[in-house]
Amino acid sequence: MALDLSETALQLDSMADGLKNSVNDSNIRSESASTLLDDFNAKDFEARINLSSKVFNWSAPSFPLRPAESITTLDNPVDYLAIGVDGSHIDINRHIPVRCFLINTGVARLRYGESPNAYLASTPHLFSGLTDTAIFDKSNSNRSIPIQGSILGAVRTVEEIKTLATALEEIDPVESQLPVIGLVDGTLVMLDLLRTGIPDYVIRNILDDGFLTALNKIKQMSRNRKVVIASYISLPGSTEVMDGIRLLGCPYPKSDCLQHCGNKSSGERPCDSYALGLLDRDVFGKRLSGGQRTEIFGSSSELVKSYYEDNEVRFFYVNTGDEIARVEMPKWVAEDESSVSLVHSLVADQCRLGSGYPACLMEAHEQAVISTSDRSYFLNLLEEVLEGQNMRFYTSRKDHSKRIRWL
Amino acid sequence: MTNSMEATGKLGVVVTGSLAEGIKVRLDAGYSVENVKVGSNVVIQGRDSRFFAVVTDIALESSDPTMQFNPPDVSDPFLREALAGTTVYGAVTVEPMLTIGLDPYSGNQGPLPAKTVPSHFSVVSEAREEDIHSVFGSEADGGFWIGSPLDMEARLCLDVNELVKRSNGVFGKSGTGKTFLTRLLLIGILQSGRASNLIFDMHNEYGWQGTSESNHSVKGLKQLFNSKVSVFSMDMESAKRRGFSPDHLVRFGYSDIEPEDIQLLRETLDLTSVSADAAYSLEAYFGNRTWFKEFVLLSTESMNELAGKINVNGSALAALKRRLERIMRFDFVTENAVEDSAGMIIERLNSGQHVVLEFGKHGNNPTAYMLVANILTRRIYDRYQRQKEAAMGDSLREPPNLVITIEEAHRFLSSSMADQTIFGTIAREMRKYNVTLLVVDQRPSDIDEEVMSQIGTKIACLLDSGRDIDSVLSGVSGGRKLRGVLARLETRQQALVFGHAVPMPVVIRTREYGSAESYAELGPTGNSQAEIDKDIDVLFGPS
Amino acid sequence: MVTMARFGEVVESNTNEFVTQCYELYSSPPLGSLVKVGESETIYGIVSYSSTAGLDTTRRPVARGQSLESEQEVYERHPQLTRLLNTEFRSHIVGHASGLEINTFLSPIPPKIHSFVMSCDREEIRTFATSLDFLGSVLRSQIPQADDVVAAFVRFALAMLPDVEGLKLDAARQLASLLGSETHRLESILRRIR
Repeated sequence: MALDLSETALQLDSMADGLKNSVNDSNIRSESASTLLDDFNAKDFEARINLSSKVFNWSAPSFPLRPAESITTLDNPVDYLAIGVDGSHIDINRHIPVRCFLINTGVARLRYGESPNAYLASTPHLFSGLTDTAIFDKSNSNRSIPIQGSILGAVRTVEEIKTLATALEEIDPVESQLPVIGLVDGTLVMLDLLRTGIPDYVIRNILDDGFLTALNKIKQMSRNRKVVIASYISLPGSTEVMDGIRLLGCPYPKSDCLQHCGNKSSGERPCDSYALGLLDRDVFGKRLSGGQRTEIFGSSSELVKSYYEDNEVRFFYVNTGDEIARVEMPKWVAEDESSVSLVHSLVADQCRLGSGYPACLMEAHEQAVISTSDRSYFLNLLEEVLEGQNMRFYTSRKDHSKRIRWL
Repeated sequence: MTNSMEATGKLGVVVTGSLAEGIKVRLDAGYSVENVKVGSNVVIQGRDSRFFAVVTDIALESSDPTMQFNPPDVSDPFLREALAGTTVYGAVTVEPMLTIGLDPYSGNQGPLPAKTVPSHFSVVSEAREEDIHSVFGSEADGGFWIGSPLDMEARLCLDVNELVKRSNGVFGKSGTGKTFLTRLLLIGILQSGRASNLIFDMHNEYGWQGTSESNHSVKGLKQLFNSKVSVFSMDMESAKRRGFSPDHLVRFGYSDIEPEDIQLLRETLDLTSVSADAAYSLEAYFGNRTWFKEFVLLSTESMNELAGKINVNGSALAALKRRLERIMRFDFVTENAVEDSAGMIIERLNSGQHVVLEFGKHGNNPTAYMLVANILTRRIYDRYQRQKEAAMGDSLREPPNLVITIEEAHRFLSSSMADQTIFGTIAREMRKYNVTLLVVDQRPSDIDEEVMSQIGTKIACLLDSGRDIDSVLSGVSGGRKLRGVLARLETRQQALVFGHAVPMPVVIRTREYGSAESYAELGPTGNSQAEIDKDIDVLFGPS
Repeated sequence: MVTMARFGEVVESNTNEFVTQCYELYSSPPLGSLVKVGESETIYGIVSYSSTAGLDTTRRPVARGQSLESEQEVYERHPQLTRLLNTEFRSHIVGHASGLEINTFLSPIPPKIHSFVMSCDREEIRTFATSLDFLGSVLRSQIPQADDVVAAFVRFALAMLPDVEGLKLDAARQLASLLGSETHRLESILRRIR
């Protein structure tokens, strides 16, 4: 049924009115937050964490020594290789009586400088059969979880990183003299796995056997060559640093939220005056000029701390010229200053070339994306294959009604 | 591509047309329309027959109807060449005259009048020499070479046998070459031996010597065929001045003149019909051989008296007398006939000779010319009639065929005269008594229609009067389309020949006459080299 | 044996024409060229339309070179462009070979998808250049550039057969016959041939 646009417009108008008022408040808070960054003292902060981490409502990331720094890159590499990887999938549709899903990974390998060239490809991978479409508990093969929903998302991310590792391996010797950056889209923190109800064996399977293995492979490569990897998050909605700022700005020596602010509502707490309604990018947006990045922070995720080890996720924010983006990288990249510089300058160049978003990621995305028509084409193909095997393909009424729009 | 078309002689193909309107031929791209002449001959190879046709019209056409309102930029030679023969092309209308069967060269199926049209896209080509020979025959077949078709060297022949079966005519404005053509025809008849010629030579052209356009003298019949030709003259001095002696001087007596002659001379003598008719009354009164003599010797009173007796108006009679006195004054008219000129001529003719009667100074006097011709012809015809009847079908005893050549024929054969003169009779009777006419005239529209329809073969040089053209072409099938051809003949040396002596109408360029070679070819075989050398000297001066 | 240049592969095919996707960007044969496709049942076409656009029709190229020195630099700075852009050309079908003989009229079946499209040799070009009836279908085809295609083919033939005498005039004449009453159209085409 059609959307009543005129009714919606009225509601949008009143929302806009409300927003205006809040913007002013935000600016004040942002200023205050900024000041806290300027006055940062690492030792004090560490002390605070040690004291309050168990009772503090939020998780603070690890802060750099000077979180207020805005760093300009001096490097401007001309000859380099940028490899972007992205993926998309067709989920098991519960309306279809076949257990399978398709993950399509796209790779864009772009070489810049003296002999520019490009390689664009996509690879579909059909997962079918009980073993491939579920994750099994190694210790107890009776236990398994079908791969779907958020688990499927995680599996996809694993496929992306694996593809990146393969692409990095396949660089031919001539090109391997060039600096290389591998980029993926989205966070390196497998948030999907944090959902409740996901058993530990699944996490192990996905992280240990998949994700982290691939990252380690890349780490090996980086020993001999100038290879760095990172992930790029556009329009980051993270408040990790803001959570740390809450801790910085908390007036109580021990930030026992329950004790001090348990009865207060949102907006009435002292830390709210620094952080309420603000995202990391809001504050850094006012501090970073075009091309500049922040110092490196460390992810506060429990998952990361528990499982990632040397691949612990580090991040910085960078002003690409068009937006404040969040760039994440494994610890082994973040600890090498030249690597960080490389990540910074190459990401900046890629964003320039891609008019605001890394060019190699954009191309990888275009390679990976499965259009609606491709989607239904896949289903038709599936239907044909099944019918060829004399399996009747019947759909539920809901699916049928979604597929065929009738009057 | 362009020139090879002209080398093979192919003009184009038949695209449309009808028997009534003519066949339209679309010229090939490589054949220039400027190379086609009206009157020239073409051959059309149909599916089953070969057609022989004459070009009667030439037009410019275009496949683009808007072209004439909005012509393209033809300053560009490339565009011009591209358009020629494709978007713009020549269209030639031809009149199919004859069909030749499938095997034209074996002669098994000779040419027949065309009764149908060639099929679409039949190839049309220039006629070649073999085509001309297959249609018109060749000298080897007994034909007489009269000239060549336009733009060809082939010898086009007349069928002399057909020619002498009927009366014939040579027509054309003065100066267009009638005399040359007539002379050639006479030679042709002479050579064939199929008839004797009697020529009433008004301007002394045919006997001893004639003149060409460029005022060179050319040989006459006597010079070429000495033993076979007799030249009689009306005027000895004129002959002597021109350097020869005629065989005989012609004289008449009063008794030779008859009332019929007076009728013929009505216009030239300026007599009323009453006056002219009075001669008959006089003959009745005085007797048929004596009336003239008796009448002119009458005194005035006797004449008036006579007028009353024979019931003829006195002044009319007086007028008649005055005119008759003019005749008396001719130096060839004597009171008493000293000889029988007609008889002498007939004797010569009977023995196979040909007779040219030169008029000398009298040629300029129509009265003299007509009177003499009429008298002689009447006599001769009379004798012929009797001879023929006496022979009663035995061809060996019949008189030989006779062709009488008269010039300014319209005077003798006008509508009013045709009934009354012997010439009209001869024309109408065809060859009843083995006598036919060869009329030479520049005003064919004045000749009686019926007489014209009896003329078997006509040779027409350029005529510029529409009426003259109409009268010459009347009764000819396809005559309407030949008008354009006739009107575009060159002023000299070209003629349209049609009738019985040719299978189809054809334009010819008259063969050359006056060179030593022509004399050698036309003269009797046996002209010695000495004579030829002498002729060359005469023409070109001693070497 | 002269190796023929291979331009690309057929990606669309019907009775009247086929679309060739070029292997290399911008390397389509010029308008009016004679090309052939198919190894066994060879089909001939004349290039009637050429285009370069994004492979994905939903992604349009955007201007990228404002700060760059040369056009070449745009491609160097964005190497993925050569992968994302695609040159293709349409060929109007004008003949086919059955055995050794070339027929200058439509083939009974159109070329297969993924057939290789190649340049033609002199003899093949000569066959078409000396019998231009097939241009009638191009002239009547209603495509707006029909006249240019026809003129381009003749120029192509003249360039490839410089030693054939009288080819230009012969072609002009055949065009005149084909165009019948459209003299001004002929004029404008001939001007493009000189």
